[in-house]
Amino acid sequence: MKKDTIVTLGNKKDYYLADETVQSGIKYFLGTRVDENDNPIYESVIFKEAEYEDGTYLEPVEDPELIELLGAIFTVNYGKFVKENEE
Amino acid sequence: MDINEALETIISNGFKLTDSVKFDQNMDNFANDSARINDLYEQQDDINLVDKINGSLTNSLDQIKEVMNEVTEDNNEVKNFNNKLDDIKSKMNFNLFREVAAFKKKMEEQKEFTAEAKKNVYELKNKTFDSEDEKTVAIGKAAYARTKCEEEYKKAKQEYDQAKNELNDYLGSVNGVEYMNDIIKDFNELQNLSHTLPLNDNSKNKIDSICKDTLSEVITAGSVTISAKNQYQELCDKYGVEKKADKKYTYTETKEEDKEEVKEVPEEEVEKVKEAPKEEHVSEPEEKRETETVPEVVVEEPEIDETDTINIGDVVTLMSTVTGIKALGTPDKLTMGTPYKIEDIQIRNGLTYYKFEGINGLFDGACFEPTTKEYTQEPKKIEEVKEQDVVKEETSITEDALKEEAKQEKNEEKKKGNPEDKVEHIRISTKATILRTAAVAGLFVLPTIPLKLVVAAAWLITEECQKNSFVRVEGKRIFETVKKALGIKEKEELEKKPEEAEKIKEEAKSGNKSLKGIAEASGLTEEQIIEDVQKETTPVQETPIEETTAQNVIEENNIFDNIPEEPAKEEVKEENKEPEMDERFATLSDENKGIYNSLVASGKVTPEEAMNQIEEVEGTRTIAPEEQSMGRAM
Repeated sequence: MKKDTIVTLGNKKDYYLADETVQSGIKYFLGTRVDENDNPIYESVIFKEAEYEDGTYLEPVEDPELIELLGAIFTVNYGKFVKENEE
Repeated sequence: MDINEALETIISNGFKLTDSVKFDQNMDNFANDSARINDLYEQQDDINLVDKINGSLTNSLDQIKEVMNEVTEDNNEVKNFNNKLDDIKSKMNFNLFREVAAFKKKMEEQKEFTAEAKKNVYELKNKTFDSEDEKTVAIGKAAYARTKCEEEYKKAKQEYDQAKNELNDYLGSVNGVEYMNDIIKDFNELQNLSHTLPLNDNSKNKIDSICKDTLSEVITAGSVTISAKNQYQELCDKYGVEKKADKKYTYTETKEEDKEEVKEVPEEEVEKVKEAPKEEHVSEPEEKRETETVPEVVVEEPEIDETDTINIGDVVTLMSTVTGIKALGTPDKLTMGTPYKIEDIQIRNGLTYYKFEGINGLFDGACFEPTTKEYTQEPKKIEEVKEQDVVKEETSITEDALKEEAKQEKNEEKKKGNPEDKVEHIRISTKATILRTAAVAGLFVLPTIPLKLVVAAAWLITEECQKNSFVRVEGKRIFETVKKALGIKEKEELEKKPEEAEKIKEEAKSGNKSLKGIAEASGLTEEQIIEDVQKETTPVQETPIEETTAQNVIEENNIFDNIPEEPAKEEVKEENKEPEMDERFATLSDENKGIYNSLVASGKVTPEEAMNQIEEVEGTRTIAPEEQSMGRAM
């Protein structure tokens, strides 16, 4: 699983994986929901990547402290992205 | 620090003395620096460097492969590029490395599950239950789950060890820094070759960017290693010590020796664990559990060691047979589901083995779980067990019931994910820039994200909006989303910390100022925003946060004071001569968006070609390259 892709989950919702980060060996994604035309719905979720026997799962992170930490990481990454676009 | 303590630190950290005079002079600080030396030793290791480099390469080569799928031609340039790719893959032993990475991931997951299962057992032991029966069943179930996890972990570790050994043979001869320089050279060449490929500009840029990122990661990893090497050497010289052995070479050898030892060493020579009083942890030193040979795969427990719950004199039941049970060549065969009383516990190579009353040989502890059923089957042993473990007393659980519980636990422990979270389909996005910003804007509505972060992000989003024309499509919704987030966070924090109201309001005000920038960059007028906010029924507006509507913001902050009147849409369109692919996509009708996706998904045309075809049908003006560059400059 990697960023810049759109995934369809078992709940039939589509998410664009905008960013990723690996913390303590676990990969997390910043996902944002998109409609059938890939337009943003402005409903973002932080996912934890999990591999099970039957495939890859993206599980929403619910731990408030982790959300806060990852939110900060994704914001910093976004800052870099904005700066890079300037160059 | 006295000399004995200092020497103990040396030994327990795996160091040896190389210059006793220097050590004597500086030993007072050695305890503080020994952890640092250990860290540096890991960091300066060539295997770690090659590991890091190959981690980056694996990812990059996958991404490049994806882009190369677009190439349909088979000219010399493509061949040269592919040859270079193959060259890199062969140099890094790509397939083997991937295999090791996959096994490692699996093993680490199992390690987590095992730690969690051990924690469960520990917690249950300290939990108050309504009855002893209930407690016994709960602990029995948890212990069974723990055993299964341990088995899975061992299995995963075996697979990893096997692959890692193979990889070590290859890595053993690699000089990390030389390898890094080789890869840098190869990726520079690859980057140059990519410019000649028959790809559209987007794809070329993508490969270019992948190469740049990879080079940057490789160089960073190299710098860290080289710096660690220097610092490690400096500290070793200062204290007159060095690490005992290079794990790179001992890894494989030790594994082989271990196998031999397990088969041949007489039981009396095996390290013994003395009988411990009840409830006392019987845990061997951390470093002896797997760390000597494979430091990178140490299970971070032992606060909840296996021996937490099982001690000499306890009765356990054989629940499974794995290869480990025969590791010590036991002549007696045990029967599944039968309870056995532990006469002795021995630990070897991080594994716990039990010696049972009246039975020759040692048996792998992972195959047993604490049991209670012997109370009904072997009354004689009840007395012994009663003295040993209160938890196991007074139980009347039948074998069938226990098996049923264990079965249920096993199913639960299989760890199937929630079907709703399963990834069913993956595709490439055509609107990366828009969606990246939307993702960040949408993130801040989540709970626990602090106001400060939202304010910071709001300014970043403003900056992005000012630079990119996509805001003409999404500016209003970004505005709404950021506003909503600011409103929610301000309210949350005011409720949580009323004493900091002034500060919070000041922060929120700063965030609200950024909204002006977003609106300005979006080319939206006050009227447009108010009108749109009022009439639209987007998901954002459905949330009843009345006090933070866009109109309120506009009124409260008067954010449009400095916005030039009517930055007409036509004018904007004229300036925007070169829409990027995602912007061009946004201008298509819904029907044509679907056609575009199908065309691209078919793989027969590039996204650029698909877009051109559709725009021709739609009658959209084709944009000349020179005009495009003008448009980008805005």
